[in-house]
Amino acid sequence: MTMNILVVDDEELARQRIHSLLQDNSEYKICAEAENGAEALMMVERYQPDLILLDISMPVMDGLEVAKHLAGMPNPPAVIFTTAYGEYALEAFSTKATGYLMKPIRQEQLLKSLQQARSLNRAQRSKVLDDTELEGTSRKHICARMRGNLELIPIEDVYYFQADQKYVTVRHRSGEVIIEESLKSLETDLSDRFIRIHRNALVAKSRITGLAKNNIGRVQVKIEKIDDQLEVSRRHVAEIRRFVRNR
Amino acid sequence: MKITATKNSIGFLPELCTPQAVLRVMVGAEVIALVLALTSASPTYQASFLRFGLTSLFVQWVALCSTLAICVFSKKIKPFSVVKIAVVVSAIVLVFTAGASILAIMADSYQKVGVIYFWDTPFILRNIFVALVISLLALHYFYVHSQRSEFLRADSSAQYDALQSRMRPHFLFNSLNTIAQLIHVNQDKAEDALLDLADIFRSTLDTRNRISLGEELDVTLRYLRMEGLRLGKRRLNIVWDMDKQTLPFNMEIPPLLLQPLVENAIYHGIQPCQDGGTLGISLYDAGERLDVVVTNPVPPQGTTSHSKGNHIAQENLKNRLRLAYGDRANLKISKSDHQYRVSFSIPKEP
Repeated sequence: MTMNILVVDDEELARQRIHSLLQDNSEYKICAEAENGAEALMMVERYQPDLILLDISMPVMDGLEVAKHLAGMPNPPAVIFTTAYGEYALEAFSTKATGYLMKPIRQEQLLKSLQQARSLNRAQRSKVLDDTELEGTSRKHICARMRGNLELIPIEDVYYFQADQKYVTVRHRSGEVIIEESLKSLETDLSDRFIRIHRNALVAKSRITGLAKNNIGRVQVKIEKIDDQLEVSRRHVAEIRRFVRNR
Repeated sequence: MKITATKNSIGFLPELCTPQAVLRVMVGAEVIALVLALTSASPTYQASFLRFGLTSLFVQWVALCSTLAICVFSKKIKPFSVVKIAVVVSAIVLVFTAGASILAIMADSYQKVGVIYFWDTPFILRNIFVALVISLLALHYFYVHSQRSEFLRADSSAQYDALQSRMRPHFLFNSLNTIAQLIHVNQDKAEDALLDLADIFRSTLDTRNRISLGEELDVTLRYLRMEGLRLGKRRLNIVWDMDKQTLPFNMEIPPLLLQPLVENAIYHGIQPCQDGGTLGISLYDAGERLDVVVTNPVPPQGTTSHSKGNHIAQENLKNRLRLAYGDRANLKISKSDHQYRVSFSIPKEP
C-alpha cells in the first residue's frame, strides 16, 4: 500500500528535495505540499495524509505548534520533523518512534524514518504525538473545524472561552466558533494569558476592563469592546477582584 | 586593570577598595616619594635619607587617606560622568595634600623654633601643585587604560557575535540543503551557491578591523543571493537604492556594518511573513558622509518570531559604530505600523 505524504516546508527547494529523494520509490507518494503551519493543517484536513514531513521554523505557525494541533485530531498522521539545526529540544523525539531529520536530508535516513513510521498504526501514532514533549511549546492559535473547514484563530484575538456541556465556545474578534477541546486543557496551556472566572469560563486577562454587579447582585466581568456579560462564580470572586485591583 | 575590574571599579577608576589595591597604592606612592626625594638636593647622604623618609611619610599619608576617602564615597561617585569623577578625585587628593602640608609645617616649625606655625603659603601651594599634576596624570592613565580594555572587550565580543550572526547554523544547514537539491536541478546555480557560501564563511574568519565598502557590499550581495535561493523570488523582494557611479567603494569601514543589518531584516522581518516582503537597502554618498538605510516590513502579531536576537545585534552595531567613530556616527531605529527602519550615517574619513 502506498503511503501518502504531506511535505511542509517554507522553502521551495527544500520541498523539491523531498520530491527528488522519493521520486523513484513507489511505496511513497507525495499527496500535497504546504509552505506554512496553518496551510499544513488545512492540507491534513483535506488530504488525510498518512505522514507529514514537518519543518520546524516556518512563518505564521511553526512546526511544533502544528504537531500540537495534530495531537488533538481524531486521526492524526505520523509526524517526522525536519530541521536545519537542533535549536529546539528535539532530543526527546529521537527515542520515539516518529523521529526527526536533520537538513541536509540524506536519502537513507529519510527512507529509514519513513519505514519506521510505516510500521505504526493510527492508534500508536496518536500515542506518540501525545507522548512527545510539546508541553513547553506555547500555543499561538486556536484550531477549529467548521463544516469540514479549518479555522485558525490567533490567541490574542480571543476574548473568552465558555464551556457548554460537550463543547467550548470561543468568542473572538470576528465572531464565535465551537471547539472540542476541554476548558481544563486550554487553561493549562494558556494560563499566562487567561484567567478562570467560573467553572465554565476562561477570560483573556488583557480584555477585562472591570467588574460590575448585575440587577440580581451577581458579579460580572466587563470585557473590552463587547457587551457579553459573563458571570463570576462565588468561588472565583475574591481572586478576580484581586487581579483587577492589582493591575 | 584586568576585565574583572568592571565589577567593583568606580567609573573609569580601577578597583581601590581591596587589600591588594591598597598595597598597589602604597607601592606607587613610595615610587613617587623616591622621585620627589631624589629631585631635591641634599648636602649629605644622611640628609638625603631623612628627606626621603619625610617625603615618604607625606606621600603615603596623602595617598592612603585619599584612597580611603574615595572608597568611602565610591557608591556616590560611581554614577558620575568622567569629568565629575576626575574633579572629585582631584579635590580629595588636594584636600589631603593641604592637610598634610599644614601638619608638616606644624611639626617642622615646632622642631626648629619651638613655636607652632600653621601657614607657609609657598610650601602649601608647591605641594598642591605637585599633587594636582600627579593625580591628573594618574587619572589620565586610568582613563586611557579603561577605554582600551573596554575597546578590547567590545571588539572581541563583536567578533564573536559576528561569527555567530553571520553563520547562524540555521542559515548554514538550510543553505546546504538547498544546494543539495540544486545539484539535481541546476548544476551551475549549485556551483555559484556553493562558492557564495564559501565566501560568506571566509568573511567571518577575516580579522581585519577595516575593510572597503566594496568588500562589505560584495559579501552582502552573496548573502542575499543565498537567501534569495532559499526563500524564493516571491518572498524576498529586494529594492536597492544606490548610485554605482558615485558610491565610494574604496572607503574604509569597519567590517560587518551592512550584512548583519540585512540578515536581521530578513530573519525578523521577511521570513516570518507569510508572503515575505520587500527589503529596502539604500546607500547614499552625502559628500562628507555615507548614509545607509535598511528597511523591512513588520511581521503581523502572533506569527512565529524571534525578537530576542534582534536587540542584541542592534546593540552590537551601536557599540561598534561608537568605537570606530565616537559620536560622529549615529544609528537610528524607527518602527511604524508596517515598516522597520534602521539607518546610520558615518563619516568618510575614519
